[in-house]
Amino acid sequence: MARSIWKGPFVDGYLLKKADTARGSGRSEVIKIWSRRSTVLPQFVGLTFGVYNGHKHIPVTVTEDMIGHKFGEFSPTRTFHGHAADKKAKRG
Amino acid sequence: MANAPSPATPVPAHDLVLVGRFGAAHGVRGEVRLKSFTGDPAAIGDYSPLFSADGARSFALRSLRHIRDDMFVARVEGVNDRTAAEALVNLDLHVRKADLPPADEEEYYHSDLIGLSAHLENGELIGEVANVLNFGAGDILEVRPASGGETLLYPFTKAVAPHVDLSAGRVTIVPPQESEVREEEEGEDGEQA
Repeated sequence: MARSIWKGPFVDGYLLKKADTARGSGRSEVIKIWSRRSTVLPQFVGLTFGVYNGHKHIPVTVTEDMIGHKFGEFSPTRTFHGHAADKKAKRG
Repeated sequence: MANAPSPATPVPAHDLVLVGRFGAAHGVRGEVRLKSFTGDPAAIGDYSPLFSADGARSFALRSLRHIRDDMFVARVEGVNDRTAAEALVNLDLHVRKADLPPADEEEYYHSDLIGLSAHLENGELIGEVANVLNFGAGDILEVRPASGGETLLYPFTKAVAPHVDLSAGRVTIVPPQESEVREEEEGEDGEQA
């Protein structure tokens, strides 16, 4: 069953406080978090989180497209080795 | 072995990029399964010729039929029966790096980034780029430290990787500051309306 709308999105409270502080400082930093369950909120856009996958912290740079998803979705817990082939990386 | 015109001189292996692999023979008319590793799986049909790992043999795809995901059934020039198709099973397919279309500004082929040496701004060596990852939240450089141990992950952004010099084979890394926030420090769960 889907979460009731009246509750609003779930997010760990300490994440919100930390995001506010990080945005205020204006420094580029990676905020290491363990809270994979928290929802990505609009106030996180532009920040970089290191989301723990049980092994290491995967850098997650939050963009508008990610709002509403959970942090854990961007930090896979299983190893996958693909092939470089013709794939391209864009420097953000 | 039936294949398309082979190069007069083998293409050097370091000029090749792996883009796919032949699978099992399919039917009796020389068709063979093909697994594509390209970003857009169907794009493998745009690259021709394809080369074996040693660069000595080349293959031209006559047709490509999609089965599912990244799997295709291919018809290869000069392969007309099942016996010839069975000889291709598990053969890796490569393209010349020069045959890949030029990357846009601020875009880099993973194959170009992998293997670059990563240095700090003061020139100190960190290690070598082992992989380029993307889990849906921006590209990530995975650097294997020269001193050994766990690989390091850096977001591939202008702030963290300000200089990428492919000709010199090096990338400059400015490691971002790190801070951490854990549940124990701040207390309870919260909810946001």
